[in-house]
Amino acid sequence: MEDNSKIEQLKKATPARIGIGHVGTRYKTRAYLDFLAAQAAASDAVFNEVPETVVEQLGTFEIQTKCQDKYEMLTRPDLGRLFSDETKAYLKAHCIQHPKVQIYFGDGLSSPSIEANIPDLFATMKAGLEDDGISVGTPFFVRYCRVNTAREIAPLLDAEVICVLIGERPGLITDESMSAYIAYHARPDMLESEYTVVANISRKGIPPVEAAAHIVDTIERILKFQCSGVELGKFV
Amino acid sequence: MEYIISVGIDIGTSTTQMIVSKLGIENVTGFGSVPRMEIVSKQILYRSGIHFTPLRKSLEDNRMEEIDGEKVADILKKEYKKAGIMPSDVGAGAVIITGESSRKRNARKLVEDVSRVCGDFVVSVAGPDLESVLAAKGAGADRLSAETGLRVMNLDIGGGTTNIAVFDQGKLVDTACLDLGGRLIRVDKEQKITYISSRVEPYLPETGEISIGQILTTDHAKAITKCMTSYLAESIGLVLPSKDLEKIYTNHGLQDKKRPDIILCSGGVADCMIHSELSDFAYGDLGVLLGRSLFDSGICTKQYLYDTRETMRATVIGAGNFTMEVSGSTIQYQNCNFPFKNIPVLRIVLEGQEDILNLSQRITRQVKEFWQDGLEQRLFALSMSGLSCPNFREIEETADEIRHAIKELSYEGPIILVLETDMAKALGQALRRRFGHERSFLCMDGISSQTGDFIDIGEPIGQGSAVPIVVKTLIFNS
Repeated sequence: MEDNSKIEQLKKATPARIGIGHVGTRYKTRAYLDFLAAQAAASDAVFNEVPETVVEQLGTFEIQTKCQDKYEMLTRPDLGRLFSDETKAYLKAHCIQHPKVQIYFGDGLSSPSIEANIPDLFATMKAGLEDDGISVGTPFFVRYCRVNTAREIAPLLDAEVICVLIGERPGLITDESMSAYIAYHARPDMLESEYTVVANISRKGIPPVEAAAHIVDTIERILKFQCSGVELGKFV
Repeated sequence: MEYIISVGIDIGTSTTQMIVSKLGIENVTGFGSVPRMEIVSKQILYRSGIHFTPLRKSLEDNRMEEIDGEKVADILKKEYKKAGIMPSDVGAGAVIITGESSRKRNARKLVEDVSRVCGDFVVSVAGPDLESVLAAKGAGADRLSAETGLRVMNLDIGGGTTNIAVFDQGKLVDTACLDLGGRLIRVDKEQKITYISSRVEPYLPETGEISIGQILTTDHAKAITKCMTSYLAESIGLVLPSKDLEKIYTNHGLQDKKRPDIILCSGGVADCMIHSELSDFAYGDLGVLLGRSLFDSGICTKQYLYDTRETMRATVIGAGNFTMEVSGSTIQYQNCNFPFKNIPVLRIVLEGQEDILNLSQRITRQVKEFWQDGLEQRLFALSMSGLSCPNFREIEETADEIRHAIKELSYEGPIILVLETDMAKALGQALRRRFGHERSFLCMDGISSQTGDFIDIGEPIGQGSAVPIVVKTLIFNS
């Protein structure tokens, strides 16, 4: 048997599945089951719905894109960014108009990321922005949400900056990770490169409160330079 | 990439040296990530000559020797000129006074003299433990250990002391310092003894007494260096102890005598080990003979150095390249008057949620104990390990507790918080909500420090996303 302490040390250096051993050409049972469990969790993260109780606990209401279910959301990205006229009217009626910053939450590809991150992430962001005199719009949850819902919502509510907190495609290490996509004057014909992104927000990545503090600074910079994405990079 | 010019100056028992290096600092995270600044390159631009440390009779007590501060300043002025740098170019660095030099009476004043000549950069003084760590890093022991996963011990054998640091799998695990070096006895060209350090005594009984003016025969000198070698072998656990090792400890020995996989040697005596052509008393001291004695004993299994030519310079490279750190991924500050120098650190336990309770009381008590005279408003930094993944409420409560403590202490200076875990920006913004935008504070993470340490904090770098920091453990030996 090799010196195990060295292998343990190497394993600590990465969350990747190294040094898991093998039996003949196969994984050991433990490693195989862990792998199956992680894969199942990742798959569940994509296909499970965000429970309505979670949305209630966040103290927000929810709207839905033109997708009818998860399957449609995954196969029709074009519908995952659009809303019916009815939904648009509802949203407009229930939200503050012309906020400096509109923040909302989307399930995206990870439903558990909402419950895991939003409470700390949003509370810290809101407190940080309002402290600097920046008005924050009414938060809400979007079911079957794609990042590009931002192109519809920003003009609808006349938000100067829009920020969607959305579940990331899960991996085998965590299924709770989310990203923030932020844009200045988002609109249907904007470029993808106009998004500023903060990724890997989770207990196992950037802690939600720290990510929030960083996003607050980023939004303040976006407001100052009146641009986002690649353009913003030219100022820093 | 941003660059900082860093200067390292080592005023040791035997020699005074200087290096100038260029430290490159860059954001190491990729697209979509929270930025994290790190020192990514270290390039040595200039190596000074190796000068004997100038000594003179003490002005107060002519039986004592002290370092000739003016001559040291002259040496450094000339070296700055040769290196082509102005004091105003220097952004970081350290002066360290090592070995027997640090015990000389005027060491503290010397540091002040030197820092006046060398620029208003971060100045630091080592204690034996920090000195051991810097020499080992300068010699590359930490990297060798990290790369190989082995237990690597560095022996920095200088004129007055031998500094020992042990790294296991890249982590510092042990340090020690011994009163053992090549310049504890000095002789003139006729081998007549001109200086005897009081620290040489443990090595004498078996070899016979010596006195100033007496001729030191080569055989006698060899007997002394042989005795030193056996003390060293016992101190590092290669040989079972037969002697009273306490006698030669500068501060303490190794905690764990576990045998290292690799032993490295640096310092002036190590340099003598590999130069067999030198005459026995080439430097007017025991250095050459001690080097040979160590070489013959086979203590050092392998020579692995920063650069094979850097044996002599391990400590000064350590001072120039390894004293500065950069704060972690996020900081939050406002209205700070950088740089901060010699800020005492108070360590407060904040590791779990339960530690937030009574945080204010504990801060108040510790600060009051530390500043016992109480009335004076002096700076301090609070060091906390921090919560590993705090939630919003915990951040708010922590900020409330800190506000209570600051109010209770009627402290009006800048609030300086040093955290290990990634929470500085969130806590900083929470403090801003409580103290407003005028009050000066600095909140940073990725830095570990303890009560009794002092920290220096430089001007922010990377568009204000990080600050350079030097954590100084212990000032002077006693």
